[in-house]
Amino acid sequence: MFKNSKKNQFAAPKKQQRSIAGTIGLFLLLATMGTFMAFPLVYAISSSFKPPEEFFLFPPPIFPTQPTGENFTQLGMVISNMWISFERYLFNSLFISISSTVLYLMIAMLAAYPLAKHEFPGKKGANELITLALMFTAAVTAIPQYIILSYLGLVDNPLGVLLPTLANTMGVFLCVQYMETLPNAVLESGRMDGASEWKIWSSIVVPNLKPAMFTMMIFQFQGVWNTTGANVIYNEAWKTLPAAMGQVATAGIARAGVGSAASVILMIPPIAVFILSQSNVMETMAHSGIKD
Amino acid sequence: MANVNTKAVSAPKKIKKQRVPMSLERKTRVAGYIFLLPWIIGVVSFFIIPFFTSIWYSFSRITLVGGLNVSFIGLENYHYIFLEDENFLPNLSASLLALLKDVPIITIFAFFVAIILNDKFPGRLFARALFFLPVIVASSMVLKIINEDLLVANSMGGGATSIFQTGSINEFLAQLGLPGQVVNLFSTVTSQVFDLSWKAGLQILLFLSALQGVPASYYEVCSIEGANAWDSFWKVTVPCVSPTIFIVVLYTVIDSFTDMSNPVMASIIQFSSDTKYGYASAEAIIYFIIIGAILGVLTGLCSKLVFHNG
Repeated sequence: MFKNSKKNQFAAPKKQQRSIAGTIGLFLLLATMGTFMAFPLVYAISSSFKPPEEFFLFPPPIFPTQPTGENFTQLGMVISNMWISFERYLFNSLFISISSTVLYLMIAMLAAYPLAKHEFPGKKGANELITLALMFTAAVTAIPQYIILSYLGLVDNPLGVLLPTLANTMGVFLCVQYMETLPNAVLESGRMDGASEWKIWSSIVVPNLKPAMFTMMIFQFQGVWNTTGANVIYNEAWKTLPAAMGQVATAGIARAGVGSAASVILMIPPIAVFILSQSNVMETMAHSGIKD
Repeated sequence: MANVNTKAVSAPKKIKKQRVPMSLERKTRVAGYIFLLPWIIGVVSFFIIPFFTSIWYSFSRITLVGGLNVSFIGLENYHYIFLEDENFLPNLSASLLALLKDVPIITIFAFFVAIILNDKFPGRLFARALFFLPVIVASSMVLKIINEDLLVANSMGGGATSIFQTGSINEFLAQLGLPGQVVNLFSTVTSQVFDLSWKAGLQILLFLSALQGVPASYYEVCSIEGANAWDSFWKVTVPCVSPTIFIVVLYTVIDSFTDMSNPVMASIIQFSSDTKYGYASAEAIIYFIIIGAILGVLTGLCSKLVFHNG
């Protein structure tokens, strides 16, 4: 199999012995790309501490020369003048995001098990449906979706925002992909020991889907957290925090400082979810202990 | 599809009728349908029904005067899109070109980054978090606010990437005495890299988990046989990860096509917000068919190339 390599007697046996120059090169490369990744975030955070004058400077300074907390105080003032309290918006958003994430994880993991591991008529079709649903643009289904919601009497109701997010296909797609790497033998051993399908799902499938689950959790929470629900919710009392913040921020350049303060506040929950779940996502399959 | 649905719905009834204990196979199947049921209900009500309604709309004229009025007009919307709308074909070819450029670059970039991040080095966790960051922050209200209110106000460009193309950095480089072409090249490359790195978050994650699924024993065999890193990469890593390469390509194609900044998507959204739902639906259906055809070809090609372990 490795005919060519036998000529090269001096090849390093494994990756551990990379040269120092190589390590430095890799580090520099990662650092450069990392800077690109972090730039908008750093820029948004530093902007939120800029005094108003510095928004009109050209070229825009990356870091404020005179950092100030004024933008946040101003944001606080704008918020306290709103009809509905900040806490209410926050509650609405958290309620919708958390319940959607929890329910969706259940639905997706339940569906992924038979889709990946069972044999039944229509399985191929159902798997193709996932890809189709990923493909079809939400911009167009939005109109018929609205009609369905109004038919169900869910317009201007938080359920109208919540329910469509449960039909997301991205998570099912991810789960099915992960499930397929799980050896059938593990499931068979469960069956042989007389476990019911529910038992197999809860004690074999779910623990092994953990990495996919946490990835999905981040995605779903992030996605739902950022929904404004503006096309379904008209009642101010049920509007979400991003919708409220969007209203604050889109008042033009004069509010640029307040806008960046709002964006920084909006970033906190998704980042918190990420930090809480990241060790599980990052280590992925390493600890599952199942190898073919 | 309807087939699966009716069976899933009727399955619970069958359990009640049946007095004799079910065979294991049957039990498994029934349980499977029950597991699928919540998802199917969701997909039917929020994807399948809206999807078919969109098809119907694409053959209709829709007005919003005194409620939603839908009247059948045959192929008129399609006729408009193909023959009268002069933006459609240029937009479509721009989307396809973007796809040809994006998919290979993003796939290779993500694979490369995942391989680096899979190695052990100090600060690995931080580096991984950094590369996953765009997934958390991107496509959100945050990004919208950053784009619209900060960068646009500052640089008069469109979108986060424009900051690298605008004066500030170029002027700085020019002051260092670099010739104009180098400066231009630099700004183009940086904005591309930036764009790329923000689109590759999920792909990196998919590759990362696939790389960790490659049994360590395969690499041991490699080093015993005296293979160098290059050989073990092509003969172990690539084949073992190939199913994931396919998934990443699939996902990237879909992502590139359904990206809001994609010209065709932008025109569909524009039609929708102008309440020209008929045109929006027709264009979406055409677009859907094209994406479907491309994915079909890709699936056909990849199923021959992908290596299945065990």
